[in-house]
Amino acid sequence: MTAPAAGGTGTVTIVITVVGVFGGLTGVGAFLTVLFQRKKFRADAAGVITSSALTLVEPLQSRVASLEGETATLRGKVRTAQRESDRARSDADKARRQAALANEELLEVRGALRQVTAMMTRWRAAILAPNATVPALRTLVTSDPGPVVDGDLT
Amino acid sequence: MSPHRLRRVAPGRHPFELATLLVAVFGGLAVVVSHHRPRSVTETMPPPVQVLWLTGLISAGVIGLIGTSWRGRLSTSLATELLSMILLGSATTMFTIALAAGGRADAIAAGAFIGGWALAAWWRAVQIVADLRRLTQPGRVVAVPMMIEDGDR
Repeated sequence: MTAPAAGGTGTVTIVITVVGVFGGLTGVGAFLTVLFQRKKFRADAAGVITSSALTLVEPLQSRVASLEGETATLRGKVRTAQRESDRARSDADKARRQAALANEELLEVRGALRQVTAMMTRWRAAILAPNATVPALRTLVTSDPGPVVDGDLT
Repeated sequence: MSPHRLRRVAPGRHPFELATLLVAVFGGLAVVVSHHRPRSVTETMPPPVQVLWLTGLISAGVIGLIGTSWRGRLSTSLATELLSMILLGSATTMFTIALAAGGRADAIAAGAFIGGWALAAWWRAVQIVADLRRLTQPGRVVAVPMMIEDGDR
């Protein structure tokens, strides 16, 4: 077999040499680029799961996503319920305080009523006494302390 | 949801790739030991380029076998495999050009196979670059080893 023409061989040789040199430099360059930028590539072997695990993980992942959505909805509902229960509790507190105040006032009114009733009984007895006289009655009414009431009942 | 996005990355465990790398090592060593360089190579390459070609072929095989069986960082494994694929692609492209330049009809079958080999190596190199880019993006990384072994990562 004869050797190819000298010119053809020259061109082919140049092309082959260029491919070889270019390939070698590119390969080494790419390798070093990746190695020096290792921080950019997060995944080490421990952070990588296999395809057999993937078949397990994928449905779980979609399940987790749907559960996360559900959790978010429920969390919103819980927050609303909490707000409502807080409002109800403060309303109940206010009502209880008002009831206590009313109860206190009622007790005062009852006490005043008892004193007024007692005073009327005393005065009636004095008026109806056989020896009742107007000056004596006047003295009695003036000296009688009358109902003792804390608040102003007028 | 983007933080849960799975990113698939395929380390090279394909039978074709591993067999090719083994052949590159042993074929290259056989050429060195026997002192019988292919005629198309001796006709088209000056001796320094022949040495470059053989070195590239053998080191592509060795580096590729190391890269595909690397158990450390995935990015290191892929980078090593990328280096191997570029060297292998270069060496096989050189050989293909040499065979084609010979213009011999009896080299067609061999040239076609070697050319396919070169195409596969460059193809795989592009794949690895895409995989490496995937490793820089957010999301869970899933290594899906190819056909030879599964579930060992």
